[in-house]
Amino acid sequence: MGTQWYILFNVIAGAMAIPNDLKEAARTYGLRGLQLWITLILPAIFPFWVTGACTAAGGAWNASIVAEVAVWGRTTLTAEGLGAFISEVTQEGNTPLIICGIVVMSLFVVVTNRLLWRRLYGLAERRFHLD
Amino acid sequence: MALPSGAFILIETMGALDHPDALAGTEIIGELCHVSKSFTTDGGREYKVLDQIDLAVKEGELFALLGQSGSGKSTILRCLTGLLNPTAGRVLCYGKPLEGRINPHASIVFQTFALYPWLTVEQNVAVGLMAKRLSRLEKEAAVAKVIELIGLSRYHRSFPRELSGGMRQRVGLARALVSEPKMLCLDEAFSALDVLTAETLRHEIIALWQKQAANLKSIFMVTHNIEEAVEMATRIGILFPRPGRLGLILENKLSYPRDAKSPEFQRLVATIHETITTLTLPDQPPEPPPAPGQLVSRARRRMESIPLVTVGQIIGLISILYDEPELANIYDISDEIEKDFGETIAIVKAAEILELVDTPRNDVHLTPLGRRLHEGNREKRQKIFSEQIYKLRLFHIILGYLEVSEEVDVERVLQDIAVALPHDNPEKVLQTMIAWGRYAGIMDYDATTKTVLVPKAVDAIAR
Repeated sequence: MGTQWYILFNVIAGAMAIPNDLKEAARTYGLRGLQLWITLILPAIFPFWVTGACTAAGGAWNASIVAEVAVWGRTTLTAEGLGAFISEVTQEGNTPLIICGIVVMSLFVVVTNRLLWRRLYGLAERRFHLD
Repeated sequence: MALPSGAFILIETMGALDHPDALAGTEIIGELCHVSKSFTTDGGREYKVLDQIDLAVKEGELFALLGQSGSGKSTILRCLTGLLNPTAGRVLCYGKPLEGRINPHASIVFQTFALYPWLTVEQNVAVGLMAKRLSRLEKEAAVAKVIELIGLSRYHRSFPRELSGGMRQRVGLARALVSEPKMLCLDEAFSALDVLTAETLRHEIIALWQKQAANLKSIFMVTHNIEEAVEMATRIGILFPRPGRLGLILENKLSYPRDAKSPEFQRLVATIHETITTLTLPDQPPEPPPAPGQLVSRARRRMESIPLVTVGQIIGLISILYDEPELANIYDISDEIEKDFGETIAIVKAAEILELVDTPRNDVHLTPLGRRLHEGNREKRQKIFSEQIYKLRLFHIILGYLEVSEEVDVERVLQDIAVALPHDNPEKVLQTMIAWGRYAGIMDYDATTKTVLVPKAVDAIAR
């Protein structure tokens, strides 16, 4: 959750980067509300959203290891998940399991990169790129 | 520059200065009444871009507004279409005040095309109808019709990036025409295109307007290109900068298609050239000789703005004039340096202010000082520059401060410039002043402290 700020700031930057002539064209032809969002704003910020979301996802993996196990004094809160698993086995010093955990995580990252982010980047580049 | 005595007589025979009564009965599509517009710079200072503009676009005409960059012509177009609200004055559309709404009878073709890259040609054209209350079938039919009309049929499913500049601008044109506006506004629509493509598109637009395709009545275009205006327009308005005001409106009754090589065409172009030069480079009475002694009294009495050109451009102009003495006419010079007329005039004017050239009528001659500048080395040039700059009253705003202290805050200088030259953008003027002053070795600028300062050690040169 904490990494969603990446998306927000990127999208704000994207909205500010919309060229003035495209905004003027939209105003001249009377676009408003939903039409304006669908025709201009959403497509124009799409590449920025992809960048933000990808960065956020990367950050989330990082944070998962730290955040899925929270130790506060004697209280230990554990969420179920890969991050918690890696944290625990690191505490125990179980090297084979650490390696195993990290390999699984890397695999996850590579697969989502291939299947999701690369495609989205490609689409952003081909279709939604502003010259 | 002396007023060529024939100039205004010539305009009279070409159809006279604009008489509104002569066209009574014709409907006025768009009108500006005493429109003024001010902008605020990044530094929060206000400056006036348009001053008391009165302009009417009538049904059936092709009006070209001619002006250099920065003269406010695009601002006029934006006021007329309702994209900008004037600071003072009224905008009327068929006699009714626009009151901040978008002009429903106008549409714009942009210099940069302004197409949505994620939409196909067809979808981009459909944007022009998006806000209209029509059924889907009606919209589709209108889009198909205009795509056919503009000759885009083979490309309707392409994306803008797959098209050439000329084709992209056709898409912009189709989008503007699909809603069947009464008035088509062209905002430097040809200046991003190569010469031949622009020529073809101009002919096609004239043809569309002549046969009133898509119910088009009038065209309002802004351009900096004199030939373009003469080739297309039935009326030409010349806008003069700082603040933008309409200097002259003339009728152009040449029949279409217009031949740029014909003597009538050339005569009209020459008239416009002369008018612009006369009004931009007026022959002023000579200044009284400066009193000896005091530094400040070396300045001329008149507070005059400076054209925003670089030292390199001024020196470049001087070398061209030196190397090619047969090049005397401003139009020939502008051809030679491949700058448009407005830019050339600005450079010539800068050189004239510095007394490096003299401009009798439309001619430009090197002065003996200009000759010496070209022949001199870097030091000599610096000396001439600093001596000439000391004569400019504007520079004494800064030099006055530097007399009494080593440095002066940019904010203070900007305030003084804003007061002295209310119609200029003070930040741009100061940038140019600092560039000239630096070259002359009489001032320096520190970007971190935002101060103008006396340059170290070189101080002596100027004195």
